[in-house]
Amino acid sequence: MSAQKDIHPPQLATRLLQWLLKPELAEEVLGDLEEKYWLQIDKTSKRKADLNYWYQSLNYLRPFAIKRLLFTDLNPFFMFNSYFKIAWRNLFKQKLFSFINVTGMSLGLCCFILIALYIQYEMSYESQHEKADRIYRLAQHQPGNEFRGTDRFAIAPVPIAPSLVERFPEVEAATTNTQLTDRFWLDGKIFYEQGLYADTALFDIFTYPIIEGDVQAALRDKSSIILTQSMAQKYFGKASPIGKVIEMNPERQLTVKAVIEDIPDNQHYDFSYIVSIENYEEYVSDKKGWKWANNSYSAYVLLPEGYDYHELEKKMSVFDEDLKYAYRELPFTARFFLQPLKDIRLYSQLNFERKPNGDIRYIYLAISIAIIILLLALINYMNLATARFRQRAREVGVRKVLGARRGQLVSQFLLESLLITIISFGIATGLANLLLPLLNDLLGLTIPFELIGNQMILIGFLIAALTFGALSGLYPALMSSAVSPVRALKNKWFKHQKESRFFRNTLIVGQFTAAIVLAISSVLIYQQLQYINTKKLGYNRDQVVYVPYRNQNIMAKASTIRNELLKHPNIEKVAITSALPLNTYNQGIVQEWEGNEDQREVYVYRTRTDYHYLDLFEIPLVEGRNFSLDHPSDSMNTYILNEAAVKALGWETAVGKSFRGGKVIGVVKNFHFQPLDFSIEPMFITFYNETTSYYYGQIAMKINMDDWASTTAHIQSTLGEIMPEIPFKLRYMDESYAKLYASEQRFGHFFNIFSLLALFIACIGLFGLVTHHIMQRTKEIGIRKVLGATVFNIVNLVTKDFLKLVALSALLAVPLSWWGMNSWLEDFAYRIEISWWVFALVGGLAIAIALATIGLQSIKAATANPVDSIQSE
Amino acid sequence: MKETRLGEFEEIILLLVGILGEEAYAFKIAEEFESQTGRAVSIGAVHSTLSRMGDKGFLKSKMGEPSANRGGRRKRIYEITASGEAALRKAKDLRLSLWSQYPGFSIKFG
Repeated sequence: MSAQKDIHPPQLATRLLQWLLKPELAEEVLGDLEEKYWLQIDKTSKRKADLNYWYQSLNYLRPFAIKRLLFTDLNPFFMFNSYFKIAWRNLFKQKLFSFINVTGMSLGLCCFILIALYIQYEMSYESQHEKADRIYRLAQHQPGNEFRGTDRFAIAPVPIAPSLVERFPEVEAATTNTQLTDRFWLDGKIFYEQGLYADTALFDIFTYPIIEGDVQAALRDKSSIILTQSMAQKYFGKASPIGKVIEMNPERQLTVKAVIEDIPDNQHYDFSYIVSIENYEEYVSDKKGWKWANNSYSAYVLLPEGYDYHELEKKMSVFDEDLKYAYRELPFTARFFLQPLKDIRLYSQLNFERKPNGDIRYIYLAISIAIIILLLALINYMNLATARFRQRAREVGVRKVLGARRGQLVSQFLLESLLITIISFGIATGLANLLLPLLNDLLGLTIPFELIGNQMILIGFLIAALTFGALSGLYPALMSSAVSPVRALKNKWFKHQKESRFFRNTLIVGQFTAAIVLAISSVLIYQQLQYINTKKLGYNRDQVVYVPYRNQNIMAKASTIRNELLKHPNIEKVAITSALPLNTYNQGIVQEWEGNEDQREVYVYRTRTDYHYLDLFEIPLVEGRNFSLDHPSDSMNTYILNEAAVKALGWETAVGKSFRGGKVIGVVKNFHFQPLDFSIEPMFITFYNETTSYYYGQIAMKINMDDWASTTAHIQSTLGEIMPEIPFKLRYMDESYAKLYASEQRFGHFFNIFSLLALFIACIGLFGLVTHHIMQRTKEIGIRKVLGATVFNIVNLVTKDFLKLVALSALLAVPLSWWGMNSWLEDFAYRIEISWWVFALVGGLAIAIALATIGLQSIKAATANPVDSIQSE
Repeated sequence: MKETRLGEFEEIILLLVGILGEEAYAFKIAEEFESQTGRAVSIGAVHSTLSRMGDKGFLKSKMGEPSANRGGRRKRIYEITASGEAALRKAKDLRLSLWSQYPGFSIKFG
């Protein structure tokens, strides 16, 4: 046995022992262990010897062997009893300060919990699928085909999924599906249901827990259907629906072959039933023709564990030729790329997403708000605690004289802050539970309250709460324990009074700056949302309601519908149109127009409508005329353009010129037919006639709101008679318009609530400090009064210092919030200008609130009878 | 007054100290314990018992010579004191007396 140079016992273990062991034991112990180590090496391997060395070392961590410093002669928990008692007494002795501390911390922690739940929910998207980490969505990049701000599309053609599986062995499975809305009959009533038309690979890739039946068989058979549990219950009640027949669209009988669990809300698409994609005629013909250019589908692939999906993306260039050929008549081509399934919710903002996605920026924002609020509460605690040191000075002094060690004092203060944190944490959890439904309402989500049962989050919260407690207690604890007992007993706390005040003042300024920034931002967000709601859009949506229809060519009945509806005195106007000026998606390329010698191409949005559309929405013409019954030829190839289109085509005037195989009869003033994130783009309006194959659209009505019940009843019965196949769904244009901005609205409310909270927490902190400050100066104020100071003098004396701080915060907040809001507003094509008065208003308001907070206390102090304040010792 | 009764583990350790003589230090005692009883024990556990019995006055100790396979460190050699010996004998006497009262294996009950 020889000690080779490169072999030695684990040094970390040795160092640990040297650090922990009593110095007088170190030599013999380390000697013994080393002897054992060499013996082990001879008998077994180095690895085992190392392991044994660790085992032996850890076995030395016994009371007899480790340093007294770490393990005092006294029972260290003995004093805890006393600390706890004192902490508890202090809590109740100083009711006001305890209240402020607990309120601030509870609110802070409650926000933290809520925001953590929100973030956890957003992160939980697609977690139902067992193979979620290996699933990718196919998407397309079409450079040159920019639509609504991006040239990336979440759509795919039929051939890609089968081609991938065929060409690349690493692609384990690929599925193509599409979503359609169909009509179903129940007790003579008709409902729209959202369906998923899928091929047989669907269940190889995605996980949809099966309740009963055979899903694979169901997807192979064109005449069967898979229902989700809630749809099964809606149509068949509690009994098992397997083998029963359900009617979809007129005269399509499907047999229920399987039932799956409902689709959870945290998935990027949603449906109530699944049928074989072979039921979709367009798919059948696309498959037969192997069409690469018809992108009516979504495709997903399953890749092996640990496979880099960028590899596959590179290999997908083999399809370039097919795509080039397919897009030969279009001014752009396409390339496929993959998106990890789990990234879709937070990172994907493509065209034609199946459901509006979340946004990672909102997550970051939520995190920063949570941290700011938590910091505000933390600062409150620290400020109050440092300020109130003096009162504890004698206690600390006495403890020190009686032999308290520095570590003990630190642990006493930490224990106190922990106590407050734990109490606050309890309150915060309860509060969060109460408030979660409101948050869900606000965000339009279904976040579950999963604290218990979810150990990760629970442990996370506990760690957060403990860290919070430790952090907020640390500064006070270290400060208090570092003072010599004589100074402490003499109440000469700080060597440098100014330093401590500077520290506290910095914190106050930080706090108010954050609160004021949030407040200014929330006012600006409110203004922008108001601006959107009231902006003159170029058309009139007041008192407009509409009924959507689908899968129906109703043009043959258009005049009957119109005449019958107009029989009710409250229905003033009726128009049938393919799109409302809310969110027009239909866009296409136009190449043919008078004077287009160099074959330019222009993207133009299109709306098909009737004679009454412009009149109903009160869209003014700047040139030419509307479609008219006096010109029977209007129903064929006549166009009305908007000003943007005329400009895009390079025309001065438009009327009479040829366009797209027809001619232009009029030009309308620009109006917003899309959300305000987009500027007004070229569009044309053409006539909606029986031959156009647009089987969807809306019946819009301008109504008089008097006697609303009878009006709706009339609309329902009329439409029910003329087109019984269409489910009756009446919508208000105003509401639909508001829905377009739902995510901004939610964001706005979210922001408002949390910024109010922040301001509130900052104010109660200030209130606590001022109260304390005045208590300290009670005697001084009394003496000043005796010497002739007026109430005003005294109020001025007390408030001046604090107000200066708040004013400074307001000044600091201006550039910060201007910068932040400017970058938010840049996302809007139509936005408000940030005006200076907002800053003045909010800054002034903040100062006023601070003044009210301070003033109340200072007036109380100033009007107190000096006799009372001076006599007390 | 400290407890003078011996536990089973203490008794064995004490005996081993006597057996090992000049070689009675924590590591050797632990090794010997393992080979004699077939039970695993950590050096720390042995050391802790040794130091406890030192406090009770059953053992005294002195530092021995350094050696290379200990990284040049010295070892602590333990030695039984008179009271340690007395405690051992007391334990042995108690056992013997109990064994003498124990009915032999040949006697069958009931």
